[in-house]
Amino acid sequence: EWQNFREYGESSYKIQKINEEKFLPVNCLARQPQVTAEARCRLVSWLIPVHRHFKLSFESCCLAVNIMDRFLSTTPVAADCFQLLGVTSLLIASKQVEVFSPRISQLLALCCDAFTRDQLCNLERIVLSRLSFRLATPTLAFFLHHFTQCRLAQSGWGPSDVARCW
Amino acid sequence: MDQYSILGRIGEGAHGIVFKAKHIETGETVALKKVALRKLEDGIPNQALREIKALQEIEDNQYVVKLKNVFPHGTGFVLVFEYMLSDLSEVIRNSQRPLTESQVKGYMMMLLKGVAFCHENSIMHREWPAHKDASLSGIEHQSFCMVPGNTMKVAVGCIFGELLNNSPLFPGENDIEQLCCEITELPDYNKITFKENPPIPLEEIVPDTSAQAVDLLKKFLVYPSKQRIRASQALLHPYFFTDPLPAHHSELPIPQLGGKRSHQRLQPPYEFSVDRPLHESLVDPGLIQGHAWGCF
Repeated sequence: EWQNFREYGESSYKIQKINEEKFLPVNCLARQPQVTAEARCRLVSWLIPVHRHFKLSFESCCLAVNIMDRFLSTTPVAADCFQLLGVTSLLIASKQVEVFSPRISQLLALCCDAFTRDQLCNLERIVLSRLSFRLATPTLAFFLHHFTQCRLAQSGWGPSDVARCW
Repeated sequence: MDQYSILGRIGEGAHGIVFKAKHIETGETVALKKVALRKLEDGIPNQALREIKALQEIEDNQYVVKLKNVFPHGTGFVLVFEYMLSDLSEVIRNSQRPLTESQVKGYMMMLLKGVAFCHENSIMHREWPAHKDASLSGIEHQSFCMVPGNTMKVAVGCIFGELLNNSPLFPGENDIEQLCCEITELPDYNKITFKENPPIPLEEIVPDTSAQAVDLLKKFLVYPSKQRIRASQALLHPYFFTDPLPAHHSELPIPQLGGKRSHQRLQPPYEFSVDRPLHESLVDPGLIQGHAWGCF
């Protein structure tokens, strides 16, 4: 990984930095009749333990929030479907990032089976369609990791020290 | 889907049926690839999502087919590609005469430019998020990268051989036989056994071929990936700079789909349409310029 960073770190960073603005959610709550900033905050706070529960990476979690926010800026969502949007975003993100993504049945169980499989699959398609399948978001997780490695490189640490940190 | 009117069926790929269609609003002809999903239990499969992502990330390039759009449809989804008159296997199979050396060089240059372009792209997108452990995902990602980068060049070599020979270079009864020369170092190798095959000199496999062509072919068919020639280096190989020089793409044959054999040669690389203004059907000088400079 250290080798990768030295060889590709700078160029990946530049590409991701340019791409970042193409994936920024614009005023995601401006046109939402029911979803409030407070509700969004509650959902994100819920998604954090959920992604840990499935042992997903931080990258998946960040991507899920980005998918959710970008979808919110395109489509009004009813308050009672908002949690379904949260788990659907997490499912899409983990399919993108992880080797094994959570099963739909597990995700539904976490929502106390308030929704059906068909509803989730349907929403998955709607989200993908609204985002034109564009899922290559440069995430917070990427930038955090990059800057950490830059900092470590500056302080003259070697690969073994870095390995200890991660 | 109602934005397109289907004009006909082009063929069937590994993942679904391909149709020729017209975008109703713009009149543009496109290829629609309908991908049906077999297992719907967990929604859209991640392989599909990642493939779409890879295609989307490859920017515009003359030598790489462009993914124009993608949308869910029925129980699967539809990929919208720019419409291509033919493909290379059709060219090899349907040519009335064997391809001339200059045409083979022309096709190889187009192929290598496309591969070189993908290669640049895949390297730039090699980043992988912070995984603390050397988890499977890292390995999986590696193999994902290697497809455009390394394995693809063996494939380039095989296509090159096929172009030289007008028949597959390593005809195997099935995939496993075809792979026998390539996979001996993989971990599961011993699970399938192969007959011991003495190597056949390449010169015998591709007879009547110039020494330079054989030299380049050998450079593609090297097992250790680091020693295999890079697409960008291959474009500078003497093979492309000796007589006969590579044919310009307007000189390459375009077979008609469905095996129609009439008036197939020397057509411009797109269709004329009476609905379009004449000036749109003229060859764009920019295209020729790009071709003349592209190899440097």
